[in-house]
Parts: sequence; structure tokens; C-alpha cells
Amino acid sequence: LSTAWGMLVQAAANGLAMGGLYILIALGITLLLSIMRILQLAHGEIYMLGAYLVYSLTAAFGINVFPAIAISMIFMAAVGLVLERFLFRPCRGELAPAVGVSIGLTLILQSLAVSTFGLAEKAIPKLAHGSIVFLSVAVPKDRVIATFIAGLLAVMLYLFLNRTRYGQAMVASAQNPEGALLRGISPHLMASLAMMIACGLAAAGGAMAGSIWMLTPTMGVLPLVKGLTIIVIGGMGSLTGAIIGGVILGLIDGIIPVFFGAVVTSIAPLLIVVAIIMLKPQGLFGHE
Amino acid sequence: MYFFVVVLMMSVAYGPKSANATETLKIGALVPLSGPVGLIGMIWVRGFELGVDYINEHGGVTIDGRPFKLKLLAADTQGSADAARSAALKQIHSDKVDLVIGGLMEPAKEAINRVAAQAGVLFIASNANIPGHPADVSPKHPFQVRLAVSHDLTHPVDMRFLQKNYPEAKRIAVSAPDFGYEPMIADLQKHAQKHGLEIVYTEKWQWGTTDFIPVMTKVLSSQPDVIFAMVSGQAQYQLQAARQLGFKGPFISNAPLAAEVFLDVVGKDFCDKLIVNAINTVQTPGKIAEIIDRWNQKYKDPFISDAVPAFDVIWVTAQALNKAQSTDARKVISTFENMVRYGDLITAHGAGKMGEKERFGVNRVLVRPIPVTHVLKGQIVSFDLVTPE
Repeated sequence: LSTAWGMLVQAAANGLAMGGLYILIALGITLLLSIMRILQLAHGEIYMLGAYLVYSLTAAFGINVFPAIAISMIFMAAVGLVLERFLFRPCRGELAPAVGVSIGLTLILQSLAVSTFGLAEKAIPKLAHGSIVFLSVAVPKDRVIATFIAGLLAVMLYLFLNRTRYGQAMVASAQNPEGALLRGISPHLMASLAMMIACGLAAAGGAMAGSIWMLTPTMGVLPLVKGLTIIVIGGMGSLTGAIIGGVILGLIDGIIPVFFGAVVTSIAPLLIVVAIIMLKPQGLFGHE
Repeated sequence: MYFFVVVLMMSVAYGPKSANATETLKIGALVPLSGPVGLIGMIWVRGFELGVDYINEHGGVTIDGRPFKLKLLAADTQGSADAARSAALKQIHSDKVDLVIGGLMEPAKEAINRVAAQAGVLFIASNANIPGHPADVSPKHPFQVRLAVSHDLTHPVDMRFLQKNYPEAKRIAVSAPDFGYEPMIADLQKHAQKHGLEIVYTEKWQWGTTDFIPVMTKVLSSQPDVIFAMVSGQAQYQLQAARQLGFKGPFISNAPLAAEVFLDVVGKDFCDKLIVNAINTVQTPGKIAEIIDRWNQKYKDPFISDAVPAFDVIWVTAQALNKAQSTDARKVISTFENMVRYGDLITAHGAGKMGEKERFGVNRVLVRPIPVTHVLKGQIVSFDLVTPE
């Protein structure tokens, strides 16, 4: 491959891995928006705590990173259940109270991480070492695995929502809450399920990001911003939109810095968001 | 009777102090304790604390024949000029510190320079990210001394090492943060050419970068034989990215990041042909081993190598104060300026001196041996302390 093509392949592979992680957090945010009608701004901190839990499991108990990620997903799903029941249920469907609660939760969870783990960066064992050579270009194995796991989780969520009774109930609850209620679908149960799935996905994303990069108490802030950007690009409440938006944003973050530098990279997603708001305010896959 | 009581009280208050009484010399540490480099500032404060403990355990410093214990007062500069100015004003005018140390970031150093100069207080800068920066030592800053080596003193040492150990390597790609490293890159080019090497590519990455895969993708497009990660606390991530992208050549880091940091983050497999201008904890000179022990006894967090130069700041300052027998800024600076022979100062890295007048116009920069740790296949194979020419 020529140097430019080689760089493009490498950058695209990197971008897809980042996109995969963004998708995991965006899927959670969009689920909560659809089912609970709340903007959960502490979702980045769930991502961060999921990563720190994997760090603790691997460092303190010597558990392999993959089972540790699974445990973290289950544990954070349980945390999500508690958060939904005691924090977010009272403010479901209310924008301002939910934002206030989630900002407070952000501060509490970040402080908890600082006091428990300190400010120093921590590392989770790599998902894999070395590189895969593809079209004579080396692509880091850990990023390939992260992309695969993120894709697998997205497919599983899609199948759950479209092929299972509970999934269909969630879709119904998101599309027509009153109609779903009349059919005996409990909004509380759907909200709990949505929060559990969202927190589990965020934990997986955080753990894989912590394995690729490093863990810090503020590591959840940027993914939250990315997740919200994806929702604007893909459309509120659309799973397909979250996936396509995540891929677009990941490719921007992977390719643009290589060819155009960091400044253009930070502006490009904003330009896309502005363009989409002007041309299709409901997002690429959103509904009127 | 009343007269005698008053005389007695005055004699207690103003009479000669007991020979055993020890006075306190306050040192203001001005470092970022919050913000993006807050963690680094915290490590530096710990290194200062270890230095203060060490000096106090050995009797403190002697000024005019009187013993003084050191007391450290740390304040947060947030790495910014405004916060550094406020912190310096408070320490100097409210806390009445005898001297200030630290700085770490150039904007903060510039602000501290001004406040210290107006008050006539000694400012001991503990590092220089960019030697020769307007905030660095110069005749314009009569109250500043820098007790940290210029990072670019590593350039001739590293180029000589490359030429000797990797004679086939000719093409260097430099990876550097995008804030004012141009003079250091030019200096590296000069030394590279002197040793038959050449800088073929320079990648300046944005401050705050955490993902170095895009950076290294560009660096490797120049097909270098060597990657030189210039003074970066993230050199370990740069090595990781370069190796993940298939780079197998020598990798140099001239930041004071210990070899173990690379081994921990990058893993043994990728830590090959690694040259770092920093200590390691395997082959450690006695004083550095003592600092590591002290750290492990005092703090529960793993040792971080920035504590060594921080310890040195206190240790070397104490040597100059003892020699000057004064805390007067001008006298201490004059003392420093005359300590120009190797051995006039002792550092954790060995015999040091003050120097670099030819570059900065004043002999107010610490010069001491440069550490070179060589890692091959995940093993530390050599450690040298090279005295700059």
C-alpha cells in the first residue's frame, strides 16, 4: 500500500474502534431518552466506574480482563437498577429535575473515584497485545477486539429489542407510553430494564477504553459529550442512528487528526452537528 | 515591684534564645495541584517533603551559625499565571516564606518571577520545560535560580549513545508537544548531524493528547529508524502506539520518566531498544535508592520518579544556604553562582555544579550527570550517569 493509503487504513481502523466505544455509551443514552424521557448526564461516570471496577477485579483479584468486563457489566447493571428506583424514577419525564439529579450524581461519583482510587492514572490489562497486519498495515489487536465486542453488544441489543417479548415491550413503551400501559406493560419495569442495559453497556465501553488508554476519575466526561453528539447526528431514540452516528464520529476522530490535525478534528463534529440541525433537525434516523 | 515584673517579661520576650532552640525557615512550594498537571504537582510536593524530612533529620540548615528547621508550605498555581501570582503573593506577604520553589509551568514561572523580584525573595525554579523560555533564568530575572538540568543537555548524550549502540540508525522522527519546543528540536538536529544522524520528520501533537495512534501513524509515515519522544510525560503511550503500529526501531524518551513506567504501561514485549534519560529502580545509585525507600515508607502510592529531582531541589538549596549562611536572596544567588566546579554541589545523580552562563547569561542552572537507562527485550541492560561536557 502507498503511504497515504496505509495511513488511511490505520486511521480508519482506529476510528472504528473509537466509534465502537462511542456507540456503547450513545446506545445507553438514547435508550434512557426513549424509555425514561430523561437526559442522564452521569452516564459518563457509569462508564468510568465500570472501568475502575474492572481495574479492581484484575489488579486485586487477578481475574482475567474478559470475565472482569462481564462482571463489571452485571454489577453496573445492578447499580443502574438502584439508581433508577431511588434517583431517577421520581423525575422520569421531567427534564430539569433529571438534569439536576444527574449533575449531582456526576460530582458524587467522580469524588468517590478520586477518594477511592486517587488521581493517579490506572491501567487495565490489555485486551490483547501486538498488532494484526491487514493490507500490510499493522492494526492494534486491542482495538480490533474492542470494535468486535462493541459490535457484538450492539447486535445483541438489536436482537433483544426486536426478537424478545421484553424487548418489544420496551419498544412499545418508548413509542407510545400510554398505549403500552393500557396493554399492561409496566413503565417502571421498562425503565428499570433500560437503565440496567444502559449501565451495562457503559461499563463495557469504559472497561475497554480503560484497557486501550488509561483510567482517570474524569475519563467519562468526553465519552458523554461524544454520546450526546452521536444522538444529535443519528437522531434521538434511534438505535440505528446511534450506531451510524458512532461510526461517523469515530471515523472523524480516527482519520481527521492524521490528515488535517487536531484543530480540524475538534471542529469537524461540531460542523456536522450544525449541518444536521439545519438540514434535518431530527437527526439522520430520527422521527418527526 | 511592677518595674521588676516588666523587666522580667521583657527579658523573657527579647532575651537571648536558648542554644537548643531551633528556628524555622519557611519554603513556599508553588506548584499546580489542580488542573491537567495537578497530579504531577502533587508528586513534586511529595519529593519536596521527602527533601525537607531528610534535611531536618540531619540537623536542618545553619544560617549565621544558628540551626533552622525547614518547613514546607505548598500552594496551588493551577498551572496558570493568575493563580500563580495570587499564590506567590499570599506566600510571600502573608505566610512570610523565606524563599519560594517550584513553578513547573512557564506561565506560572513568569508570574512567580515578577512577584518574587518585587519582594526581593529568592525563587528556585524546579524545572524548565523549555530552556531559554522568557520565564527561564536570565539576567532579567535576578532572583531566580534553576535547580533542574536543561532537558536539551540529553541531546548530545543520546546521539552519542545511538551512534555507538545503533550505528545503522540514521533517520530520526521527533514527536513533541506543540508548545514552544522548536529551539530544542533545532538543538537536537544540530547534535544529530554532528553524529551522522538526521531529523527527517517532526510531529507536534496537541497538549492534552491521550490517543497517540494518530500521532504515531503520521510519525511512522516518514519511515524513521529512530523515534525521539521529546520531554513528554506521555512518552510511554507514544512508545505503546508506535510498537502497536509495528515500529521496531530504537525509541528515546528524554523526560524524567523511569524505565519502570514504560515496562508497566507498555509491557515487556514492547519495551525493546528503549533508551530513557531517567533512573530505574533496578540499577539505582545509593541516594536515589534512599529516596525510593523514603517514599515507600511515607506514601502508600507507588514511587514516581519525578520525586527525585524534587528531592534534589531541597537538598541542593540546603547546601547553598549552609554555604551562604544567609537567606538573603542576593547572597544565596551569589553563592550559587560561584559553585561552578563539579562537586561544589551534590545531587542524587552525583556531583553537580551551577553553570550554563554561555547560554543564559548567568551561572544559575544546575548541571549534573544525565541518566541513561537502556532496555532490551523488557530487561534493563545498562544504566549510566553521563556527565555533560
